[in-house]
Amino acid sequence: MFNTYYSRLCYYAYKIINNQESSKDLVQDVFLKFQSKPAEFSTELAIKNFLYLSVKNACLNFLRHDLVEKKFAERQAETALVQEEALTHIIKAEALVLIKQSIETLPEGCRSVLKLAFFEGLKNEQIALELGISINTVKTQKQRALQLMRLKLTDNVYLLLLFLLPL
Amino acid sequence: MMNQFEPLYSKAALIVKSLQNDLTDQERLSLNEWLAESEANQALYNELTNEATLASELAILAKFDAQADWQKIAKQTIGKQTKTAPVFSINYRKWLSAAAILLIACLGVFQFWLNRNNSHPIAKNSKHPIIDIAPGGNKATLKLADGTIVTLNDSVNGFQATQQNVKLVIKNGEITYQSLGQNNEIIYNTITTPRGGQYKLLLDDGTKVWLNAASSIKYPTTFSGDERIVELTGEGYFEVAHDASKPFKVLLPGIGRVDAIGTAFNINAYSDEHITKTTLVQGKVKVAFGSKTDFLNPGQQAQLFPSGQLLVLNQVDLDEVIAWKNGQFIFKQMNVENIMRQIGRWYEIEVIYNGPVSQETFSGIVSRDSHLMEVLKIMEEGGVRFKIDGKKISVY
Repeated sequence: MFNTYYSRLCYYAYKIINNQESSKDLVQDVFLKFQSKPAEFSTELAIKNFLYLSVKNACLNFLRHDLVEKKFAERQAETALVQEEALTHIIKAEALVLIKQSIETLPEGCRSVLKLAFFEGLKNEQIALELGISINTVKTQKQRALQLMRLKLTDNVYLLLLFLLPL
Repeated sequence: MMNQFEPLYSKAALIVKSLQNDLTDQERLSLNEWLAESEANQALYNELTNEATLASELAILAKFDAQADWQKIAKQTIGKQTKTAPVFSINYRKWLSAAAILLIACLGVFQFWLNRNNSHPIAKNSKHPIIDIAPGGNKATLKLADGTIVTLNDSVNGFQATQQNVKLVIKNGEITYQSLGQNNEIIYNTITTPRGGQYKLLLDDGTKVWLNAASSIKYPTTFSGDERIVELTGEGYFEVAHDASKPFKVLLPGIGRVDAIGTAFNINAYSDEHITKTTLVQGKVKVAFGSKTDFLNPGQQAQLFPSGQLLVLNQVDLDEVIAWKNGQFIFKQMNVENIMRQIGRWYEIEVIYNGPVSQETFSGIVSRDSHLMEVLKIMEEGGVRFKIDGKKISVY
């Protein structure tokens, strides 16, 4: 359970409170609390929901301490905004985990390249140096990896309504 | 109330499928509807489908590693449970080692096997204090740049000092360095653990180092220049903070070097182990021994032999290699001599062999907080006999 959900929950918390160490602490606390009541849940989905909810509440509490100084109205507004954004962060967390899992299934060569590019944020030149291969090989491996995962990623950001044609 | 999240999980799956061009018409409709709902939704989609932003978000996700952080939470849960999992918390320091050391049968139960099947070992807390040799603990000495020696042990908690604009804090078996500003001079500190000691170090760049018994590490209080260099003897486990612009290099005097950028690896370079082993857990490292160099992938181990030969093994048992850092001894089909060398360092005992020793191999998992007897039991079951006399142990 811990292994499956830990990183996405930390990612989620981090997007809300913007503090890496606190995110980890917060999520670990949630797991500790969860450990004391495992019998209550009937499905894994219920557990997942509980974990996300607990983390979200913990984040809101965390932020509340920051907000204490501000005026009531400001606080209300900020909390509402955080709530809304929290929902989108869950989507991101889940989607990223799916993509990450798909990266883990790649063959050796492309997997290392993609991991260095995506998880470590290295540029092509740095990847080439670290793996001891040419920059062209890095580019080819990246292409191949994306093809294998069948992920079509864009290089430019452009308005989506132009991109997807409504049926 | 709980169901507020479920539609979100399906949106995530939908987005990933659309990237893979794997949507049914129905699904595509669904996605379009969601996108049309708000600009925020579109922005989210764009973020996940653009290579650059996706990469940076994945990098954030990658910062949170369940394997690495599990130990912290495992230790906290143990206190609350009566049935235990094989990981123990580290607070048994009150057990005494008596002057008269008798072989008293221990009431704890371990399940271990001889050279065969894979039942999981079940380790339970022994409830009876044992009068035998106590385990090691957080002990080390710190030598500061000006030569001052600080003794590090559990009673030194909250100690702080500042050297040339770098602050160090000692707390709970861990020493942390933090640069407070500009530094003109590179100064070095050295931590040395005795037999029976271990310590943890957090360097100024965020790199974490676990130091095993009878080891030492020399390092600058803060890193400058375009390399991060430290020197190790004995055994250390490193989680190097990622910095592609400043490669992290561990020098092993008289042996070689291990280079890393942002990775987790274990180096075992004891002078009394004739093979120096570097094991990569995560990331990538380059090992350089004499004139030979090689790159390692996770799960691989580079072995340097006294002959100068360098061998790379695939898929070594990582649990076994880094068990020490996680507070355990894990033996998987290991022979008596190897086991005794490891535990010798932790229990500060001198091992004497009386005649040829059984070539049987043994497997088991034991907490490093156990008294010596519990560890020896693994081998006693296989017919090996021990006689303890002060700090000397004879093996029959």
